[in-house]
Amino acid sequence: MNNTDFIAALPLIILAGTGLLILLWDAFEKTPSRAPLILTMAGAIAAAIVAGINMTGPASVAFGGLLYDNAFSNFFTIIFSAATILTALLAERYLLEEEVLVGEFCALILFAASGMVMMASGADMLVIFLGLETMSIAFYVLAGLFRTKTESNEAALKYFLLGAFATGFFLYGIALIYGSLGTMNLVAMSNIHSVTTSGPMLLLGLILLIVGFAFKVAAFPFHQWAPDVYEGAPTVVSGYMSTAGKAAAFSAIVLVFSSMPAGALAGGAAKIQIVIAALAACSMLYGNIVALSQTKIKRMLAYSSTAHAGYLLLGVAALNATGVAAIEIYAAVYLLMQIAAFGIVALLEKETGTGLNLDDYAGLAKRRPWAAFLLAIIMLSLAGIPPFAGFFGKYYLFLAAINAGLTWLAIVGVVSSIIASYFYLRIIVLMYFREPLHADDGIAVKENNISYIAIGLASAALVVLGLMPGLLTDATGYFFK
Amino acid sequence: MLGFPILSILTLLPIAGMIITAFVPKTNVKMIRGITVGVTALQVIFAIVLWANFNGSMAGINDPKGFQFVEKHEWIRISGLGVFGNVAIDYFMGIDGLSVLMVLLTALISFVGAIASFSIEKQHKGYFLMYLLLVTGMMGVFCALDFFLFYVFWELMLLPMYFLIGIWGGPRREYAAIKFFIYTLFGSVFMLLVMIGLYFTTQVQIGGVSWHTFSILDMMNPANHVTGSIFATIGNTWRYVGYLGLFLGFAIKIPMFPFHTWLPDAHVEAPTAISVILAGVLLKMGTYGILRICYGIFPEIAVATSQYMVIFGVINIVYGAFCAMAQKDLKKLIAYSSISHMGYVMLGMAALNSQGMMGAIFQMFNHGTITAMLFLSVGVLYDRAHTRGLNEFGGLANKMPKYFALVVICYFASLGLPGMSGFISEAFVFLGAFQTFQFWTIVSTLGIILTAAYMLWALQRMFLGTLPERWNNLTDINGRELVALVPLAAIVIFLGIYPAPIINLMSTSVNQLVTFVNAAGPKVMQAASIVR
Repeated sequence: MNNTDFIAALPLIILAGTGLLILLWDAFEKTPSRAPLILTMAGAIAAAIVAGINMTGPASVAFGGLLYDNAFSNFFTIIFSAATILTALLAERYLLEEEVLVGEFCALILFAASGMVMMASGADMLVIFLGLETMSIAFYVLAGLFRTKTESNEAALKYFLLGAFATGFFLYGIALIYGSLGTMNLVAMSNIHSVTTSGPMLLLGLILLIVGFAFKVAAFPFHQWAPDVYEGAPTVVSGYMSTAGKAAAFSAIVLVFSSMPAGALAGGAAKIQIVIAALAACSMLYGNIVALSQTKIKRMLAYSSTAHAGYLLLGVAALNATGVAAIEIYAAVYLLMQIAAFGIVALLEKETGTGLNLDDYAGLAKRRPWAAFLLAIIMLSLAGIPPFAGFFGKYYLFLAAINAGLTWLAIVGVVSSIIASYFYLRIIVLMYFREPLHADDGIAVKENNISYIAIGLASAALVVLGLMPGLLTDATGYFFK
Repeated sequence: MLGFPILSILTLLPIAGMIITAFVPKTNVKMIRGITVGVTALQVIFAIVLWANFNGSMAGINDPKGFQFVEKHEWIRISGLGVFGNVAIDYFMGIDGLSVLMVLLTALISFVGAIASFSIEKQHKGYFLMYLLLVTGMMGVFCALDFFLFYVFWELMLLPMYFLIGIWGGPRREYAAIKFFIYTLFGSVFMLLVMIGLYFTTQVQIGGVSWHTFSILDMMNPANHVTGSIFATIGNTWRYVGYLGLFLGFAIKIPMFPFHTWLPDAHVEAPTAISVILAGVLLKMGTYGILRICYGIFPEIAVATSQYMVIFGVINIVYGAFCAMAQKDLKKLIAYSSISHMGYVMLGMAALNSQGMMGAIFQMFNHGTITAMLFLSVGVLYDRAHTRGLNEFGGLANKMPKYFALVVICYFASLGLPGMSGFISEAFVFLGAFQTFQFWTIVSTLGIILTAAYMLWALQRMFLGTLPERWNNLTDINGRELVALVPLAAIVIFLGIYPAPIINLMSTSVNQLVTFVNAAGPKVMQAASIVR
């Protein structure tokens, strides 16, 4: 391991190392405190800074072709770190109530984050697989963090069983691709100029890979686990899983697809494109239509996250540079929106697990004007209304799709956003236009400034990035220079 | 040319007002109201400065040099993704004869609306913050020359409107607010898709590098179209699709039959000031969009489809008038009369000649002032009686003489009495339309008779006859309400007698637009014959 290898892997090392440190600290310190959270944030911030420095440097492949160090990988490293920081801020109240789990929680989100970084920077399919498993196993445990709650246990078990199944598809896909291309290394793959063996085997391999990814991002029809898991898992964990986890899966799928040799995609691209486009269209429509009829906010957010996976798949289906940039932008924006949304849900949730129905949000603007105001911004951004960042992200994805000749898919996208605007707006209707249903406040809000800081930061970022999307697009631009 | 960016000031002044308002404690209602009235009054002053400095001999439309008070700054620049990813979005503002009237109207109606907002009774701070944001959105739409910027302002105005109806509205406000929102959003997302298509179609050279651009002016020039792209080449069927996508978005806003059903609901539920804004300015965004964007970018389709547009215009006129006649709620009656009057605008636009087009734009301005007066007058009565039922009143003329006098002015203006501004614009519209579409123009004159009928009938039911006893303690119109109504009445009468100041502002631009659109007409015929 030489110096450049070390620098390339430094964000990964920092994240994983901080996780290990926290585990060690936890073994000796038994009184719950905020220290692991602070350490987590420090680690994530350090990783983000290193990634930011790496981003401006020249692109390279470290460890003899195992790990990318380029703008793409570092961009995702930064957004995973941001997600980790936000999650740690939001989790503070949640964890101190549960008392014993602070150390475990912090270590697990850091391990998950290091898995994600591996997925976004893997230059070999095995590294990506390793990252996927590191992340997934951490998630299985995180979903069951509330050991005494049945729903949490159910969520963990369901996620684990189905996740293991999806891993099988994923591995089998890798095996078939290896069989037809003779390598698992992405750099080597992209250098293959003529593919003589492109045929059903490669196509099948790619499709199995897509199935594995579609499960991880909860795209239709592989989404059934998502509502139950997001509902049962601790709310902050749901926020983390549904954003950073999805972004990681998308970074990996982009890496694999953009490395496919030209010949391979020329034979199979049209078919692959149709498969992905169909997944995207179904996810957008199904997610948004089913979300309309939900009465619990976490389930609503879960179905809407399926729809957002569909929007991101639109960028994958485009199979072009604009699509990749659009995925980067939307992943970052979606991460801010969804984490902040789950953050507010966590803030308003009672210890008994109530306060999660949509009706509990009635008249929130009168009781908690700030929470309602922030949630309104987030909902409008999720619905894709300008001038919020969600609009620019969606716009860029549609741009990519139309650019790739998938106009019909863009039309499905806008139609589904109209459907979606109804249920996002319904939350605003409840908060602002209705009187509270319960005399006793319905929702408990502990005045928690740290959570408000995190949510406020994310919302402010949504406004700023909406008005000046150049800040974000400049960052993605490095990838192509 | 002025030494300062007047369009940005007009557009962003309300944002400055919002920032100041944010620091005022919410109990200090007087101060909050004062800021909004002050900001909108400043806007009126700036609008007058703009008017005084506007050069009526510059055409604009498709000629970048013909625009005035132009501001152009880079806003979003994304480079390095190859030519498709080279996104160039500018902060590009400027006005010509098409938009100058709309800018003046927006400033005027915003000020009037701010005064009418004094009757708001709850959550003043939130209301005035939203109101100011709405004004920014409206002003921006009429000044933007970059399609992306236009779209952002277009959507920006949607949000405050939704909250203003939804929070401060009447009993069915929730339904009305969400209906308004979903209808408008439905139209605007298709606008978004066409906008992206146009973006890929248009390419200009900046410093030797090819950039796709959102500039509406660049989109108008076929020389900038990339060969083989989706909306390139006159005679390309996709251009019909593009035109219709944009038209749908604008038609919902007008609102054109059969997309009009959101309007009566929104009007009935909205507070008075918001109805004033909605009818006074928002509806014009639809027709303005068609003139500026649909006609500008797809002129040959505008020529080819004008024969269908005229039919919808006539349906609006006649159907709107019949509906108005059947209403028992005064606000609903005025809402349907708006639909009917916007039909004249469409009729004039479809005529595609100078008189018709000028009539249409003048009608947009007049409808803005007259309908604003109508809604203000309803507000005056509603604030006192808390009902708008036409049949519940009678004999108010004796009880409220000053109010009656003003109401007579605005009802007569609305039905197009000679000597009022509405007459001139409708006469122009008929003059223009009769040259092109004789049959439909004759049918549409039915609208005049119907308008007179429902307006006079409403006047008779409310103000003549005997006063029911329950209204014995109604008071006459007060000073604040007069401040809002009298200037509008003065404008309506002045322009009815001497319309030249307005006509001079727009005539050069209108002639340019007519020439430009009609020049594209024969091309589509030629292209069609080549295809055959």
